[in-house]
Amino acid sequence: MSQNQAAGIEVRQQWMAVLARAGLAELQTAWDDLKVAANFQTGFQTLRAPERGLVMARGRAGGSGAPFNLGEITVTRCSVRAPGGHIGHATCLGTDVTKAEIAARFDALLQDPAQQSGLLDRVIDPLARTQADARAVTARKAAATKVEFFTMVRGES
Amino acid sequence: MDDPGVGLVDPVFDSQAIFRSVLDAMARPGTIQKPSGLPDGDGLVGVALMVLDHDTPVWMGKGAEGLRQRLTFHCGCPIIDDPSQAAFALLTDPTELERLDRFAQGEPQYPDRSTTLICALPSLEGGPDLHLSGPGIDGTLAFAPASLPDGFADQWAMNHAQYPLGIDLILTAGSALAALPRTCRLEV
Repeated sequence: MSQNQAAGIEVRQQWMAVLARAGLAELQTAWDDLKVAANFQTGFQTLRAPERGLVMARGRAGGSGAPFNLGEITVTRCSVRAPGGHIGHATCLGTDVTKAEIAARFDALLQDPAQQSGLLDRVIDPLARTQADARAVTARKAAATKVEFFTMVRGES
Repeated sequence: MDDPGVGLVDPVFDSQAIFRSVLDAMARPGTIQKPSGLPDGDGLVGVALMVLDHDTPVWMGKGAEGLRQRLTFHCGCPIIDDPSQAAFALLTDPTELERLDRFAQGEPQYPDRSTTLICALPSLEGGPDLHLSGPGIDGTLAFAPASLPDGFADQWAMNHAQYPLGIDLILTAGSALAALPRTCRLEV
């Protein structure tokens, strides 16, 4: 795989992650804005209609790194073909079929070189910032509860 | 990524409609069925999407390779090289019907573990008349699919002679389908 291809895949993974973590309201708003802005003709074809299923989430044990089954999680997946021919996929945690479909549509549109940078700026970056901010708030709250253990060491400074 | 193509639009009801069609075709051999719910109006693809899943090994005949990605995406079915291990065989070239014995014929205790062949033809009408008789047929029925290979009647006679073993055949042409179960006797 060329370096370009690997970089392209990484960028796509990042936007797919942002889309999957976004809430339905945010995605719906972004989609409606896009349609209005671009005078958008829908013309999407559904390859796989949104469907719900279970996936076994795997974790790794801390010490040995051995994998284990964490538990089954519900995911919703969808695949669409954009009018331009690009195939979009989405796999989202939860049961929201509308969100999975919108995420798949964005994934398809983002693969179009003509639309990619515009969509990254207008849709993905704001969502990514909101998600990063939320993570930072959670991290700060968790950090505030951190306990420092001090040991008394005799004879040493 | 290449295009995996459309699956069944309504997986539950469309697969039921297609299944019912195949059931009717097997129960009344040689009659032409037109199921609803075929994606792209394609009988071969519709039947394949209906029957295949991750437990059904499938063998693809020459020329059917184009379906590989679509089936892997929508069905997750194992695609195997050995026709004698296949639960289903997808054929888009009728000459593949010249050798029916290379497929799984079933076992005496499990005659159902034979390969079910699904073959796409240019048309289910307009070819030389085949006279069908047997269970599900009142007397005889003329069935005239196009482009069956010359040796087909002999191959079918050998298949029929193995009852209860042997293969069953679903023939599709566009959005029409018909079936020849192994119980069916065929005369030219």
